[in-house]
Amino acid sequence: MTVSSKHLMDALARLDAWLQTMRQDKGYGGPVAHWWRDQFLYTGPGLDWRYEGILVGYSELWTKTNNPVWLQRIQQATNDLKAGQMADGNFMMSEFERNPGTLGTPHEAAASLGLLKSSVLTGDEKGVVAARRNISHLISQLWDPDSHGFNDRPSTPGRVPNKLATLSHALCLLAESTGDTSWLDYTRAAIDDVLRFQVPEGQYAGAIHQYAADNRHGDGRLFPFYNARCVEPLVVASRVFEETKYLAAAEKIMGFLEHTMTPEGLWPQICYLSGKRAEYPRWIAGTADILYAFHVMGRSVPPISLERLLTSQLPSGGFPTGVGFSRKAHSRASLIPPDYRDMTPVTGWNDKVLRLLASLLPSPLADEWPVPQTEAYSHQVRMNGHTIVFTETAERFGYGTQWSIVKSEPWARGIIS
Amino acid sequence: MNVEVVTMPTTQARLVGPEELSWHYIMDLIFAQSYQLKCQLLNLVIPDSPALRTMVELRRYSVDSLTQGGSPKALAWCVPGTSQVSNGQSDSSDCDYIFSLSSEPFNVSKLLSQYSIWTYKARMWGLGIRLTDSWNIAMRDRFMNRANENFVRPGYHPAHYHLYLREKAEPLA
Repeated sequence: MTVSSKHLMDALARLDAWLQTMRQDKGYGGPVAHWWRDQFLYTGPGLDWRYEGILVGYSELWTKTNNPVWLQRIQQATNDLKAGQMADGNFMMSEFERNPGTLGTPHEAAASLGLLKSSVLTGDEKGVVAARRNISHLISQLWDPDSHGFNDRPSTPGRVPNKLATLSHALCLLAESTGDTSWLDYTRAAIDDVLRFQVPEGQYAGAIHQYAADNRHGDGRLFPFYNARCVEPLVVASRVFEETKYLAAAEKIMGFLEHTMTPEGLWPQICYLSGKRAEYPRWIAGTADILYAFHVMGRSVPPISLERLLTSQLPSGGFPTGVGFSRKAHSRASLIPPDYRDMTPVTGWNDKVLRLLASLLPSPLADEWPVPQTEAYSHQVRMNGHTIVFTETAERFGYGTQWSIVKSEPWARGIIS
Repeated sequence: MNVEVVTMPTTQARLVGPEELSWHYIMDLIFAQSYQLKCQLLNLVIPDSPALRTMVELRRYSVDSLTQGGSPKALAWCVPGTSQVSNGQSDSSDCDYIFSLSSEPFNVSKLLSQYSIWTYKARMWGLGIRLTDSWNIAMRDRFMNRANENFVRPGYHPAHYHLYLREKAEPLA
């Protein structure tokens, strides 16, 4: 399948329409389905990594089309983050699947990254100011002078390399935006910790461990998705420090990603160094970050994977979260009908699709921007052992008769069953 | 929705791991149900803990500009082992709804909802997490997912916490 710019624009127009249905007064909301935990009770705004994709994606569209609508979206998202910034520099509700919470990693750094990237294009200094306040606070909370690196939680030793990569990326952009190279000392510490946890050899050579509780040994869990999120920060570090070792590390991650792609163009959730795998859930919307890594490295995005992503777009314009959430806990659970979390489109995964598709869009555009066609739909899903009907309209998600999420409201309605 | 908070000194365990997760769920369930009931006022009585106060503040932020036109008042008594009737720190007589958090199951009339939090089933899977932690991380992840799946259940199940929502002040049986 060859993806035309018309096809990309149509998908983007529908995705943008869906994202607008997810807006509340204080930002983009909605439920969260994730590997670590789900959040289907709090459905209010999250000032987390969703703002990375939203700000970068709309910035790409603004650059490529000059349509003022995209500039308004950028300004609105910037205002969300500024309004939700606490006195100490943290963002409210920045823990994604653990919301309501704050000091979310890598979420706050990712949101600041979005601010910094969009500020370059719009010339809006207030984004840089908010990002600088935020990153300064992250450093004050997470920097460990004894081990000369960033912990994942204050005063709790340990490294999460993919989060360090995001923080490193934000620090690079901050140094470039402000001309203050003192930020680069922290950048170097963060990105060098990513290299320390790269698998040197074996079938998963090049992959980055998920976690190092003792800051010395990787935990043997290799998530393709989180590995992909290390690629662009390594490329940026290579440029900023003019050192090829970071680019070489990114190349090795790409080898791992190519090696682990499934025949249908998705990726397993986890490859364990022991040889075992957690095959499910496989991301659909989240796959966009993996494909974005291919794009950043100047490689062609695997066609089967891009096709798999684009054909999954829901009638509402959103992209479903994944396949096989039911197999998180039960390895033989049926995939049909899908789990309710598989089907539910989540803002903090769809932002990644926005960033990818906007990045793939050629410039200048030969075609007129399309009027989005979206509609409500229903689908049978499994929810806690029962087959129910999942419905999405522009106003709400309905899960059978007992559970519903009104998109404009911060808390869900119904009884968890 | 207005949220008023009263803290009580207790020997509350430090909020880490499953204890912290329990309180996330307790607060989420109270706020979600209060919002659904269109409460104008939520009066929260909680153990005195900085982490808990932060949890409440963030959730207060989610509802502080929202008015749903309702007038009901709710009292959420979240100090297990103490009674709102005998304590006298918060008057429940003018409340339309009362949340009660207990370590023990009890019979309540006019019950609207009941949740069991940090169920013993989840604790059993948690034991598996600790046993496999250092030697089989793939199995540990599977146990983690089983524990998460069973962490909160509606209705009564053997659990560390039970959260009840009932109408109006009625003496506990």
